[in-house]
Amino acid sequence: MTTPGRLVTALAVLLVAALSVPPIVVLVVQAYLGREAQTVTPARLVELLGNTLLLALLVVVASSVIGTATALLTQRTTLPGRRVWAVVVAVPLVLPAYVFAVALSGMIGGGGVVTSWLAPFGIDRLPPATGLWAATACLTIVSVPIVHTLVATALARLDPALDESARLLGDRPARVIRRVVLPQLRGTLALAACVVSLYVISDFGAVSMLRYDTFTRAIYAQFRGRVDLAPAFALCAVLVLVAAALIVGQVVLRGRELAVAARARPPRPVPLGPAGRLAGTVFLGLVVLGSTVLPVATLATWTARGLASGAQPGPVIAEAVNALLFALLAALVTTAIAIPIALAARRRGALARAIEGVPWVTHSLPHLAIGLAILVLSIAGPAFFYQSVTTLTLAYAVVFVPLAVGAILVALRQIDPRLLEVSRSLGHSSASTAVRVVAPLTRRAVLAGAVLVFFAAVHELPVTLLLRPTGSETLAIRVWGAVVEGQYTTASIAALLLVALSVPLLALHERASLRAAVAA
Amino acid sequence: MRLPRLAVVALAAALALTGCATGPSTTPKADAGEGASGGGTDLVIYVGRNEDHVRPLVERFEEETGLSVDARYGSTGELATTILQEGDSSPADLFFTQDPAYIGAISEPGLLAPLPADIIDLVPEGISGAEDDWVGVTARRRVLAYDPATTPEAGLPGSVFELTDPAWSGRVGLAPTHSSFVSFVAAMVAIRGEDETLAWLEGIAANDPQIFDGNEEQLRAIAAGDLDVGLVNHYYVHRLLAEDPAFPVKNHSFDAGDPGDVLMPTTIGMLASTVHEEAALDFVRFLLSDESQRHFLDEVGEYPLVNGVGTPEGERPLDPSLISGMNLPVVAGNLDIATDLIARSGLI
Repeated sequence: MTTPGRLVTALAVLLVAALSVPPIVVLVVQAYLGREAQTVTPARLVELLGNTLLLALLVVVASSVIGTATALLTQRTTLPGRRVWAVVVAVPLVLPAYVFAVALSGMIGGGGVVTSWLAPFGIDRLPPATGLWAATACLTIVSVPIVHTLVATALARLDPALDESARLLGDRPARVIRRVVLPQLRGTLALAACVVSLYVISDFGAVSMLRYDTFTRAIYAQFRGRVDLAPAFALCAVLVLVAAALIVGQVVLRGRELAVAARARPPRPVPLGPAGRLAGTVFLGLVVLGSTVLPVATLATWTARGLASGAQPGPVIAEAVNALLFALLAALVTTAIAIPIALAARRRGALARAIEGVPWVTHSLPHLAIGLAILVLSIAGPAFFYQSVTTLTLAYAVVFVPLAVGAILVALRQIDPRLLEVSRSLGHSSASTAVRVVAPLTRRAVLAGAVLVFFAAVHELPVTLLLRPTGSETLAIRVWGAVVEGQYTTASIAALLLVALSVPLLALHERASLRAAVAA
Repeated sequence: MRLPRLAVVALAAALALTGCATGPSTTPKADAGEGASGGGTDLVIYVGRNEDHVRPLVERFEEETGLSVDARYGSTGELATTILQEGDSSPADLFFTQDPAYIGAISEPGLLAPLPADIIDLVPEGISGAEDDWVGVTARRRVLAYDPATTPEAGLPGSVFELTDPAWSGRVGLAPTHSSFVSFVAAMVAIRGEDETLAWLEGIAANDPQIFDGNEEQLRAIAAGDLDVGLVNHYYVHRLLAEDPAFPVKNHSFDAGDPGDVLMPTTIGMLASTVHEEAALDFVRFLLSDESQRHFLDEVGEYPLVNGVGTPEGERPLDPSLISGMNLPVVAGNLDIATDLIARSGLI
C-alpha cells in the first residue's frame, strides 16, 4: 500500500471509530446499566414483540408481491409507457412513512377526504386509519419502491440466456417467469425482506400516528412518559437485538448478491397482448393511485380546506428553511466524511470490510435508539455540543454516511485499474492520479450520494426530534407535533410542503444517478 | 483546456474541504445563539405546551421587550426528561409545563429557583410549589368528552371509577403517555392512595381502552363516531368549537371531589442554573398579566388563574375549597409513583 493509501485508511478508521462506534457503545453500556429498570410487564413485552414482527411480516409479504410485480411489468414486458411507470412507482421512495400516515388519517374515517367523496353513494362511514391494517398499508406504500428498485436492478443483471432457452423450448412467458426468473430472484427478495423488515421495526413516526403499538412506539412512550432514561434504553436493547439479527441476514445476502456478475446484454421483453396490457396498466394505475395520487390529493384537500377556513399554518416557511439548511449541512459534511471511507473500503481485506460495515450497522439500527445514544453523548460532552447545529449535523452523518459511501463505492469499484496504472506510468503521483483520474470519474456518484443524504436528512424524524437546536424547528418536527395534537390541517400543510420540496430533489437524484451510471 | 479543468477540480476539492470545515468551525458562533451563555439569545424557554397556544405570546413578549427568545416546543414529559438529563448545564431558563407532576420532578432534585412573592401572590393559594419554586399559569379540569347524539348524557358516570365497568369495555379513550393523564394519575394517588389507583389503572387496562398519543385526537375520534368517551382536559372542546361551531363533542364533569374531577394547572418554573434571571422573571410576570391570561381564556378556553379575568364559557367557576383539597404540591411530587403505576398496569 502506498503512503497516501495508508493515510486514507488511517483517516477512514479514525472517522468510523469516532462517528459510528460511539453510539453503539453507548447503547450497549446503557442497556447494561438499565438492565434492572422496570420497563413493561413481560406479557406486554411479548405483545410488543409480536406486534412488531407481525407488522414486519405483513409488510414484507405485501410489498414483495407488489414490488416484484411492478418491477417485472416495467422491466420485462412491452407494457406501454413502462419507463414512465418505473419512475412513478418509485416516487414514494422520497417520502417518509409518517407523511403517508398523515395522508391516510386524513383520507378515511369520519371527516376523511375519501369518506366525503363516497357520501353521495350512501357510504357515510369508513373505519379510521388506525391499528394493524393501517400501519401495514402505510409501510407497504413506502416499502414497495424499495422492493421494486432492488428487483429491477437484479432483473437487469440476470443472464437472459436462461429464459431465452426456456422460451425456445416452448415455455409460455408466464411459465418462464415462474420457473426461471423468480427462482433466480430468491436472493434479492430475501435481501429486500431484510431491508424492509429493518425499515418496519425502525419506523417510529408512522406507527405512532396510526396508533399501532410496536417497540419504537413503546420506547418513545417510556422516554416521554417517564423521567428516567433507563427504561427506554432497556427496551432499546431488545429492539437492537432484533435489528442485529436482520442486519446479519442483510450483510450475508448483500455479499452474495454482489457476487453476481453484471451482464451487458439486455433481456428480450415479454410481449403483452391487449388483455395483459390492460391488466398491467390497471394494476400499476392502482399502485400509483394508492401510493401517490390519493395521499397527495388528501394532503392538498386538507390544506385547501384549512386555509379557506382561516387556519394559521404557523411558521412553516421558516421551518422549511431550517430543514433545508440542516440537510444541506448534513449532505456536505457527510459526503466529505464518506470520501475517505469509500476510498479505504474499496480495497480488499477484513479492515476494509469493517470500515464499510460498521457505519451500516449504525445506519440500520432504529434511529430512535441512535438518537437517544447521541443525546446522552452530547449531554456528557462539552456544553457547546449540546443541542447545537454541529451535533445535529454529526448525528445525521452518523446515520446517513453509508448512503454516500455506497454511492461512491459503486463508482470507485467500476474504475478500470488499468487507467490508474497508465496514469502512474505517465509519471503522475498518486495524489495527481486521484485528482485527475479518480475525481472526474466519481464526481457524479459523489453528487448522487450527497443528494441521497440530503433527502434522508430533510425527512428524518426521531434524531431531529431529540437533537435539534432550541428555536430551530423543522418541517418534520412540525408534522409530528401537529399530528400528536390532532391538528390535521397544520400537519397536512407541513407534509405537503415536504412533498413539494422532495419532487425537485427526486428529479435531481434521478439525473445524478443516471449520470453516475453513465459516467461509470 | 487542461489548466481550467484542473482548476475546477482544485476548486471542487477546496469547496469539499471547506464544506468539511464549515461544520465544526462555524460551530462556536452558531452555538452562541443557542447555548446557555449565548450572546444572541436573551431567554431560552422549554415549552411543554402546544406551540400554537404559546408562540403568539412569545412573539408579543419579544416585541414588547426587544428581547430575543428561543423556545423549544415539545411534550412536557419529553422536555422534563431532557432537563433532568441536562442537570445544572441545562440551556433552559424557564420550563413551561402542561401539568404539575412534571414540574415537581424538576423541583425535587433542586433544579428550580424560588420565585419572588409578587409573582406567587398573583395566583390563588395552593397553586404553587411547596418551595414557591413554580407557579400555576392557567388551569384545566379533567372531564369525560362525549357526543350527546351517540352517548346520552344520562348514561355517563358520576365517578371515574365506574369506567372499569364492563359496560364501558372498548369504549373509553385515553392517552396514557400524555403528561395530562400522568398528572391526573398523580392527583388520584394524592386523593385515593397507590393501591386504589393501581387497581383502577389495571381495571381500565383490562377494559380494552383505545390508546391515543394526545387529547385532541380523541375528540376527533368521538366526533367521527369511532370512540364513545375520552378522558381529556376540558379546553380541547373549546378549541375545536372555535374552529368548527358545529363540532358535536361535549364535556361531562365527574362529581365534584371525585378523583376524576381534578384541577390541572399549567405551571412555570425558573431553572436555578439560569443566566437570564431578570428576563425569565419578566416573562413569568408577562404570562400572569391580564392580557396574557385573557389570551388563554379566549383563544384556548383555559381557566385564567389571575383573579377577575373570567371563566371559560359554559364551565363552572373554580371552587377555592376544591383547589386547596387538590394539594397540588403533593401531586407534583407523585410523578415517579404515577409513571410506575401506569407502566405496571400495562397501559404503556
